[in-house]
Amino acid sequence: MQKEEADKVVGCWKITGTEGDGSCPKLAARGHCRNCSEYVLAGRSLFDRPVPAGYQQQWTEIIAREKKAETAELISVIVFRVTHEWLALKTRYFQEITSERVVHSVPHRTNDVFRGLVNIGGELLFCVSAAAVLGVANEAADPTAQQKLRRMAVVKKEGRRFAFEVDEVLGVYRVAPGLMHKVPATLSKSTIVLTRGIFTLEDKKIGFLDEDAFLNCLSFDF
Amino acid sequence: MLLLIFFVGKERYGIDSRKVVEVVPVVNCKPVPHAPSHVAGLLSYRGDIVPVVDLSALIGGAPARHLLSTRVILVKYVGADANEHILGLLAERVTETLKCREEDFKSPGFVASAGRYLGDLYIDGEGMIQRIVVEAVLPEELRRSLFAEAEKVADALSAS
Repeated sequence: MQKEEADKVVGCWKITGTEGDGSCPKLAARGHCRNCSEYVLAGRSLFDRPVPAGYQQQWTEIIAREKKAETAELISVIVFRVTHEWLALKTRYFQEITSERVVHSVPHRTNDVFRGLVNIGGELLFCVSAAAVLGVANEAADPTAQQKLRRMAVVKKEGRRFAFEVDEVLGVYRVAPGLMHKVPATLSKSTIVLTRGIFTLEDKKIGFLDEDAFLNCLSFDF
Repeated sequence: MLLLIFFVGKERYGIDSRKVVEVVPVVNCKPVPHAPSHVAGLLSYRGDIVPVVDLSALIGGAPARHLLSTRVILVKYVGADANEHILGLLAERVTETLKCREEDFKSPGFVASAGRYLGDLYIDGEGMIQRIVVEAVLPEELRRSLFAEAEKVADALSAS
């Protein structure tokens, strides 16, 4: 329904802008309609819709309640998937998450863990296989399995930057340490060492990685 | 500084974000009988009673329409009793903030006596934005009576 509403809007961008004949005089300076305030204002006007039924009452109740003090202790993590395993690492260790890159293997050096070199913004970084480090089965990544979601994550610790491939990134979340559970002792050893706890997010069990252990496993000395 | 922008009709106004405690969607207020039309009512806000002023009614003369973009801006407000209270400001199209420099604000050079809450102006590519002087939004008389009411309620509650 929202799509239909959006289609009804006849904005200047559809007539003289990037979706139209491109004759708008402002287009040269702004490059694309999305950089123009007209476009922004039109987008914001989508908020100028009547309040849905019950919404107002719901918010009246929400703000009448005492605000739950958000514990300052929340940990910010980025949640990602390596093969079938959902994992989380503290956000501050991430430098960037970028599109999937070609990994150039290094003869006589490339192995299960060290995948090769990867070009990130003109800088060559070591690319390691998180799956191998974590010992999670690398289920010979079936090519149909949502290649689009694969990303290259760049992490930095103590001045060393390196990259590793992830199969999917869920996003940045803030987790209360109280919600972390201990890793069951029945899990395989390597995972216990690298995981500090497990928490649940949207019905997923997510392993919270111990940054020291995990990142030390990723770093190499040549 | 960051200016929280809202609209009255086609005109833009701004509130210094340092004064803003929280911005919430439009909510149901308890009407205050006999109050001026720009007092939207009283709001139960996290255990406090907060008076809400309808800025659309105050500035533009017509009450704010209830849309998704209409919000209540909760601001810190030093009342006549020199204590800090929270005041709700109901405004339309609260969807934008603007980064600007304090020294770029210019005096309007003209202030109507009833419009003392309208502060200095900021000029950007789209026109002028007038800053709201939160302290002056309530007329003196109303300010005393509104927060006196809130005080009494608090006193009665603490006594019981």
